Amino acid sequence: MQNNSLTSDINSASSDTIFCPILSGLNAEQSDCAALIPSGNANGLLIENLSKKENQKIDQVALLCTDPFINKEVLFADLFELGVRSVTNWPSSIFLDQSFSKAMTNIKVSPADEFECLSHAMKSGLDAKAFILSLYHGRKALSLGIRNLIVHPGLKVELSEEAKSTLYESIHLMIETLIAMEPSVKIYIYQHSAEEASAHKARYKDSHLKISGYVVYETSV
Amino acid sequence: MNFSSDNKSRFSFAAAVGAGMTAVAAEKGGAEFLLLLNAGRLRMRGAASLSCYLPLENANSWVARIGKTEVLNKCKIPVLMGCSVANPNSSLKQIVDVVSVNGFAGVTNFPTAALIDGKIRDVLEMQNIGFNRECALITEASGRGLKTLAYVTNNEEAMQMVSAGASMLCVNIGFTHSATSEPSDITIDNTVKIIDRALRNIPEEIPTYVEGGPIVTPESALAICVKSRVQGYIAGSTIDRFPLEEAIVEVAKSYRIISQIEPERVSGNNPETDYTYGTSSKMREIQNLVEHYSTREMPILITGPSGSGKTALAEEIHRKSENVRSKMIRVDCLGLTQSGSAEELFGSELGHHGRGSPSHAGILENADNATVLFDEIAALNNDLQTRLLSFIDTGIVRRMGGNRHRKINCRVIATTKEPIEGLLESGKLRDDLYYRLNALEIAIPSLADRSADIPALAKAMLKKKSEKKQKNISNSGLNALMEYSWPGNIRELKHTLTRAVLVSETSTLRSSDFSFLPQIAHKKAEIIPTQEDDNDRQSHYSRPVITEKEWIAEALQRNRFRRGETADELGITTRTLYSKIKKYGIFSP
Repeated sequence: MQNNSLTSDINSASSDTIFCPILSGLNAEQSDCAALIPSGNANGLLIENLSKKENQKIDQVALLCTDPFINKEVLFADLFELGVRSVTNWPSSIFLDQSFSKAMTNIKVSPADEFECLSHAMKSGLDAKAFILSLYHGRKALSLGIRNLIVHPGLKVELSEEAKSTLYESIHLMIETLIAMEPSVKIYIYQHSAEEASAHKARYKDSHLKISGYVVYETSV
Repeated sequence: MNFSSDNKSRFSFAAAVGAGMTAVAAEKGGAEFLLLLNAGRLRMRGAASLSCYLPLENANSWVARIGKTEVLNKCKIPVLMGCSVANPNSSLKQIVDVVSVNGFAGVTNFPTAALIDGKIRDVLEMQNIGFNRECALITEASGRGLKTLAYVTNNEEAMQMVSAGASMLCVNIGFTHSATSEPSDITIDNTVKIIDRALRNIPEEIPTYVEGGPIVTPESALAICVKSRVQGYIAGSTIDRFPLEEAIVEVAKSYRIISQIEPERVSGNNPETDYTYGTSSKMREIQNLVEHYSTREMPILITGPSGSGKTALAEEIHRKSENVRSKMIRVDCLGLTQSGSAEELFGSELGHHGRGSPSHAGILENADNATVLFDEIAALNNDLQTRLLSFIDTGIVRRMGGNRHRKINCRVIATTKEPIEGLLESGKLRDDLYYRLNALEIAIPSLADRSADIPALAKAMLKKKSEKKQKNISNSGLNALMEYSWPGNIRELKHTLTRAVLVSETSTLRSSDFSFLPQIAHKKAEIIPTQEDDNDRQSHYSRPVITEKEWIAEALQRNRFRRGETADELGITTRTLYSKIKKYGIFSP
């Protein structure tokens, strides 16, 4: 089982971290909303940080896949040259819903567009991990050849223990379905904090659920 | 700074921009104040307004920098800064400091969480980076004496913003659709309802505006302002991206067209010549044929679709041979009466139609030393075609009922708009006659197939038509003409220019002067003319210079849709006006 962290902290970045500098100063709840926080140039900041020589150890990064100004070929080539070997879609549009989601989809800001971008990265020689929220997202990502999925449990809200159990049961069912569809898929569960990840591990320690590990948000606040 | 709210009859207008060029242009155009937004800048970079929410730049420092370097030093009207409160790492005080230090007149909450729905909006509010924080921004700015315009989408938000101290409100109906997004499905009437619901119980002294949704033209903005509580419109993509894109496309096309416009040639003796040809290679070829063969004796067959200029070309051929042919006789084969057509052509001897019937000479007998043009040759019946064939072969005319032979030396030119293959197959044109006539066959292409000629043709026609009114045509006007499919060919082009010259009030015809051309026909390749189309075309040619529908619609707009005043201006009763509006389905709020 592999544990990765999603972090904006350059100092804690290692081979087990997914580096995402635009999340600097955001807590876990705000990180989920990062696609709607125009606080800087997400991809620009990433390249800027990676370009510093001492940061060559970073090999997993998070991209704003729906940036309308990126030239994907150039970006992926630059990332590869900077030592990056794996990319993921964060900040993500997976939480957008209702009419706002519809409007954003019209300008190509949608999970499907993010997965297309990741698929493009794979063709450029990079590995890709896709954040997904639903079975629909998972199917779409699999159909594009993505074989590493990070299942997000949803926006962080206070839940009763009973509600939490129901939530995770549905997530586990979704994971089993995805594995049945594509046995080679590696699935990670996203957790908003290390505590949340520990609690999940403890709660399902006897489960036969085949997950490859966790991705845990590491707050810099 | 004076943002008025007192006069509902005055249509107020502001612009949401993102660059110095558009800001200065909007001010020149009469915008009363400006909103400087990251969405405006993103539009200028080619992205959609909606991408303003994405982490593409630090919205606040970006807008402040644009304001400082491009806008505030050039514009005299108030400029409000669009401030995002979504970044929890920036305090409201810091944000408002940036507004003040850079010299903005005020703030607006943009990008606003008001347009975001679903669970993520709840999280934004719970994290205090949503609409509630926008209200706090307005309070902070208002407390520092800055002007504040608040974007809202419903009554609850409007009331919240008024309580927060907003000095102006703008009801946002959603982002304006563009090429990359779906058209708004909200009607004008529904927009009015949304606005009035949102502004219920809002104090009258607060100026109110509307933005987005289905509003894409000044007319729709005015219509909404007339019918609803708001007194003004804030234009975003409708004032920069859409018109800019359109203008750039037009200008770019003009650069393409300019290379196809030949420098004006010195006119010959006859102005018709200038619009018989053109600059296309096909027409050049025809011109060379005419130069070479005009004085010869061989018959000529001219083919081409209706209105393509067959008769004009025949006349041109005759003109070129005037030193050998004294006159031109035109025989309208469609107009020859079936019963007496042989007599009309060949004449008849005394008593041929019964005792005492007079003798008379036919058309051909009088055609010695002339050019004889047979328009629509296939309309002649088989008998006449046989007689004509004999005449072409021998040059001999014999009156009907007579024995005397008269030798006539003339040149025969025939025309037909029908495809030759079809005429021969159906037997409407005798093949032996066809082979005599096609000693020289000239096929005039349709105008759509030689659109490169349109600039030269239009200029030549205008020169002739507008001798008194001195009309020119702009490149955008030429572009509009080149985009049209011209099912009626040269004839339709002439009519179109006549109409435009009569209606246009300026000395130069622009693309807007040709807006009466049917839109459906703008896509050239999609239209294949048919026989039935010809009838439609004829009715199109005879359309009045301005239709009653256009007459009424224009008057309504001039009178801001006030029907009483419109009826007065038009000299009709209000009741009649109502029935006309209904009859023509004219948009009238």
